[in-house]
Amino acid sequence: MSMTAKHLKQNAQFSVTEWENEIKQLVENHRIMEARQRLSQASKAGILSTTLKEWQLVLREPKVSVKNDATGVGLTENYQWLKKNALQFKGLWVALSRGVLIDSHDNLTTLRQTLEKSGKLTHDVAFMAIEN
Amino acid sequence: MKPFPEHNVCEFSPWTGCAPLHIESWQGINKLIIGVHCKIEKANVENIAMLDTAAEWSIIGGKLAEKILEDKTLSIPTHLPITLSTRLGKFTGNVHRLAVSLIAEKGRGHDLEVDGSFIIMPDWKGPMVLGFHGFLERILFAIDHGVSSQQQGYIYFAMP
Repeated sequence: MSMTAKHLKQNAQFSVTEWENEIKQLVENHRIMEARQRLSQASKAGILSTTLKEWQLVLREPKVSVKNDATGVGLTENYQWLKKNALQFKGLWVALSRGVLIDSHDNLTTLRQTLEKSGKLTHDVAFMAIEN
Repeated sequence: MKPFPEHNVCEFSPWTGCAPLHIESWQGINKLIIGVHCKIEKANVENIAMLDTAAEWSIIGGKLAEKILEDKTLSIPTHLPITLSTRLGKFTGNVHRLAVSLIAEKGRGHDLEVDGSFIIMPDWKGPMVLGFHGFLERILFAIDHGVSSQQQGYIYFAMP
């Protein structure tokens, strides 16, 4: 029996719970590549479960695409505003436009709605969270 | 401002986007050695994240994490919680599939979207991290930190 066939046989003997626990441990131990490899082996061995499918979905390699537009407006100005004022706005969402504060609120949806109603919601507005 | 390389002007210029980056910036008690502008696509929310090639995972905490957990349309989560041991202690969260873009400055190419893997941990005390596996591993990027600490740094990026 070849080594691959031997491994496949061993893998097939693992229970679904053992597979799930192993993937979780690899993820918790910062070993993403190995988790991906083990998921691929589980798939080849015909091991299926909702949890393993979830892991396969979230751990697959990143998919990259170039967007049609550049959305960065006043990035440096916004950064300078944050550097100067973030302390006073801890725990809030802020709406910035080219380094100018438009409004702030602790709820993002409310902040967006307020700007929309007042006609201040333009493409230049960046919504950012200021953490505690 | 530095000119963004014109397409076809230099055959060694693969970049599709460029934006300012911030070296040694602070977010509260956290120092971001390299801070880059990014956007949680479906939430249309921007942030300055720490670009960290030595980090295995990409992490989102705090209000951004709360927003992602609150709005189920923003990401695809796993339902099994994990505990991650980090330099800031142990934190619990879930791995999510999430689209995050590196933002390009207007007139300097296009945003680059990465549909990647993030650990969402509301209690995380550090900054948003763009780590290697699950995010940086499939993009091209270069850092121009300027010739002095007073000069604006830039990040250039592209799809390989």
